[in-house]
Amino acid sequence: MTFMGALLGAYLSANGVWYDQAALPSDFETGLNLKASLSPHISLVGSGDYGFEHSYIRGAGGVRLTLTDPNTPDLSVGLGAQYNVSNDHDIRPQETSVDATLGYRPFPGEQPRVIVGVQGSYGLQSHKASALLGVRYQLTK
Amino acid sequence: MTVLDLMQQAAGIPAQEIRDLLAKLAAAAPGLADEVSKLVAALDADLAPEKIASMAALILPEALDILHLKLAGQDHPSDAI
Repeated sequence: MTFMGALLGAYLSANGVWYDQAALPSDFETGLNLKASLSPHISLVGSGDYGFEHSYIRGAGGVRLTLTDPNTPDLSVGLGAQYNVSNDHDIRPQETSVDATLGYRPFPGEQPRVIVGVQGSYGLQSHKASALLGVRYQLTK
Repeated sequence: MTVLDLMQQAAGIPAQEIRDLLAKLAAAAPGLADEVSKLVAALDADLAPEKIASMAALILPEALDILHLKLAGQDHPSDAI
């Protein structure tokens, strides 16, 4: 992995998202995720996604503290906070949320660019929770 | 500004002591006098902005590699989510 590849990352995303007041699944999204690894355990993260069922656009950006298991480098967890914006505040309020994230590279040998993950987040103003199950394809290397 | 001035300002290395040391080296080893003289000239030459830029271009990739190893560049899969 190159220096810039390790520092910066871009990923194509596909998500199933669930909001705590909605039916299953709330929506299916696709978009782009970006990360900048500022230190071994601090990263900036950002994303933009389009929700197909409710035709919304949302974005999020923030900071994350991340830990990777040294014995399983393809598994990591992160705790962070992100600011959310969207064109449909009923679905995704404009607010800061805190989140917990788990990412896993299931086939590091055959498909090292494929990452799966889950994220739970909680809106500090709306007091609404959401969950995300996603697949990423790493564009940078 | 010269390289010796820069070393003095950045790291507190006394420029005159370096000059004296190199002069002693040249006196003790006359065979090296020419090389020492060239070194002193290089250390005492004015640093033009383009020279500083070329030195930075030389040093920067190495510095980034060190930063990569020491500070950044952790590939956490969860950062992708």
